[in-house]
Amino acid sequence: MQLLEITGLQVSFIKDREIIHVIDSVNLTLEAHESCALVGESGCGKTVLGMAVMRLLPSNAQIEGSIRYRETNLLELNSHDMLQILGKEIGMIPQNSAMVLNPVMTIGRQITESLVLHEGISSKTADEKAIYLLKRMDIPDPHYALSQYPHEFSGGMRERILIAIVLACEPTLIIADEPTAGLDILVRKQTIELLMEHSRDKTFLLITHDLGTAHELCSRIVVMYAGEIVESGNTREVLSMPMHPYTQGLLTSHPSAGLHPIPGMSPNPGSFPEGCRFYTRCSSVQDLCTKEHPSLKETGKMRKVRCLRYD
Amino acid sequence: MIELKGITKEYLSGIISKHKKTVVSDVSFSIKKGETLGIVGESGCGKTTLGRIALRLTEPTLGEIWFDGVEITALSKSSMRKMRPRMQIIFQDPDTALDPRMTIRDSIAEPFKIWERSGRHETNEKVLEMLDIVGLQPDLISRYPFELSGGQKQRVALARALALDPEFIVADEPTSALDLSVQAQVLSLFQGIREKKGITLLFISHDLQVIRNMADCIAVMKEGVILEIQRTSDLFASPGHPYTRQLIDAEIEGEAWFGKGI
Amino acid sequence: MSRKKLFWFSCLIFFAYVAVAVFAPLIAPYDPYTVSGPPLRQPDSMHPLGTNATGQDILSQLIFGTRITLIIGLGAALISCSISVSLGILTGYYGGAFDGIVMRGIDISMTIPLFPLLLVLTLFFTPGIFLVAILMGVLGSTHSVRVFRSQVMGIRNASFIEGARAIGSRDMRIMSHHILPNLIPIVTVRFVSSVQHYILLGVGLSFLGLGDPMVIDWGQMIEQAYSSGGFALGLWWWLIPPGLAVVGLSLALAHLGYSSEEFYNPRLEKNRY
Repeated sequence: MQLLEITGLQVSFIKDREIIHVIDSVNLTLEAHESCALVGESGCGKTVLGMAVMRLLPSNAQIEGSIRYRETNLLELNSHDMLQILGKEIGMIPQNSAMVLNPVMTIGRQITESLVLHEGISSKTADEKAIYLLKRMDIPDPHYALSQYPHEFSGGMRERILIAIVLACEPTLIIADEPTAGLDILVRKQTIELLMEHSRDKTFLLITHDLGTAHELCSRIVVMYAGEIVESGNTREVLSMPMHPYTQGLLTSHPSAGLHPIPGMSPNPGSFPEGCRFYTRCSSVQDLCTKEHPSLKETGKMRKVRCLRYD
Repeated sequence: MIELKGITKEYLSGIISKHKKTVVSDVSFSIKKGETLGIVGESGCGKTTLGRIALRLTEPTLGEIWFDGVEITALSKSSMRKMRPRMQIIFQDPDTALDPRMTIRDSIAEPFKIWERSGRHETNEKVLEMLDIVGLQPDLISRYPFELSGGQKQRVALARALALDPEFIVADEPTSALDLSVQAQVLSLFQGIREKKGITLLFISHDLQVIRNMADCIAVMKEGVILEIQRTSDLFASPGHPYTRQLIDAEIEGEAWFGKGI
Repeated sequence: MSRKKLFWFSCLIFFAYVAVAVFAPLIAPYDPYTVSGPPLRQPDSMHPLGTNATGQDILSQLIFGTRITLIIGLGAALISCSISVSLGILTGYYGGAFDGIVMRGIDISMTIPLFPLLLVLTLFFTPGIFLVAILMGVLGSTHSVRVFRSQVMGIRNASFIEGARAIGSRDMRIMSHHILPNLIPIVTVRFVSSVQHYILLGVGLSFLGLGDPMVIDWGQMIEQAYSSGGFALGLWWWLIPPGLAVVGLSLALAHLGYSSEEFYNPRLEKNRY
């Protein structure tokens, strides 16, 4: 069953009377219980995509296309109906746990807040559930932890608390935005294990630039560059045999591969080049690439690439 | 080139009952000229503080620091200031590493201005030269930091650090805040410059793979103490401490998928 | 009205006041101190705002009064800001015992309310307007030190300050080249609201008759109108204009401060994505 269907999504921002396109005609489908990684650099639009699904984009954003969650087009809902879904059906683990947790609210309150709001249970029952969640997240002394504040915890712990908050209402779809960014090796490992354990029966959309995390958590991978999808398919396949030059470049930039960088910089939204958006940095660029903008073509079972070489 | 002996750093907090917190405990190591020492450890292990102590940006509570045969811990404030051009630092967070109210030109020109090494016209030339060395377009010269990306800002920080032609650089997690591909660019830039100028480097990171690529020797740090120091290849072949073992295993696990393809 | 329009409009109003003050001798129809007509005359073609109890032209008094109000307000604000910025930077940057001592001093002086203190001081010796401005500036500076100090403490920990030290900057250079420029947004906003404050304070003082008795300013005008039975006799042309002048200037300054904040902080408008 298709849980999330994004069709023809286009997101632009209005800034100083200029319209800047950030996401261009993105199509993405998530089946129930599927885990998909959305991979790309900062500025490629992946975070905007996640926020668009949650309808959390700022007011100067223009959205076109449709985002269907279980037959309902989320973009057509009013804020009241959307609030019913947010947190309860779709949960988002945002980037940067340090800034997201309310520093003047105990973590107990932050967890029980959504529970009381969505499930209408008493605060006492909510507290018990919160303790249970914290235990599952391996937070030591969960009972005492309820009355503690975010700054009393380390970065890794805060990430886990954030996950606990999101899982509280047991949403069906979880969107995780860079859950392992900036974490130490060991903490990262723990976080990934935790996410793996808890996303088993849920549908999971992981937004990250860390290929390792994508590989461990997701069966599908979608690579974005300059606002569009450039490659997608089965994670193992794509990462072991990448087709798009950008994906190949990402893999060679990895420390394990010797840190060979892709020359140049990714273009800023609003200044995308004509033709293929990647051609200025592509090692296999051809003359045609500067003129024609490639479309996303299917090249195999569930495999798609946006590159003129495969046309 | 640089040697730290018995460096300890303690912080005292509290007004009535003084609570002592030891951030760095009895650390000693030395780096040969032109080589790179990597310090790897989790956040909070004291590596950042250690990096700053190596330049005497933070004063150690105990211990000595020797730089090119001079004991810099014994120097007066003004003598120390004169040593500064020879030793520089690159910070982790590109967003706060540059003064937001200064243009790129001003930020890079500042070291020249302080030490009055050249006139106005010459300074301009030098700034453009530095931008070129770090691979940035000259038209960025009149931009402000908020107009630049993270990778660009780190390059500007590098340009500023290189302006005075230092012999020793401390790089404190310079690429942790950057994307994978940008990280690769900045680090290969580091490598290039290091080779060209023969700079001694103290590279701090929590990413073992990155350090493996950058360092000749690696020191593993935990809770203020250095657990072991070995040459890179030796460390990976036969780690001495169980904690090092743990780190390497976690790293290998995280990169296990990489073996396939390419 | 959008913020930008509001900003320019308030600017215009403020500069109109300044222009009136500067060109007072050219604009005012009469000398404010000489008797130029029959007393308590209602507005007419000779005296657009009528005359007061002594026969002095109210419009001229209003115009010249602008000078005094602005001198006191701007002067006091300048002095106050200079002192509090310097103290704020020094205590925020150096910290330690110095900071401790100065802040305790500030804490103590902050408990003394400004207006009564000024009242007492001006009772003892009747100061000229410049002295009033200096007194207000010095005494009022304590209130802003904390604000600037905490800003400085926040900036002090940023990497670029350490970077400046690493390149070999002296402390003075760091404070003047790095910390001060980064304080300018908050200092400007604070300055504008200080001007507003001190203007009101000055008018209040002279209303109570404690300002400079040698000059006639808006506060005194209101006071004289009031004590000459202004309300009972319905002397609206004497009571209302100075009051309106004060309110107008005060509002213009308030809006100036409010809208200039956005001017300085492009991130308030910028939406992140």
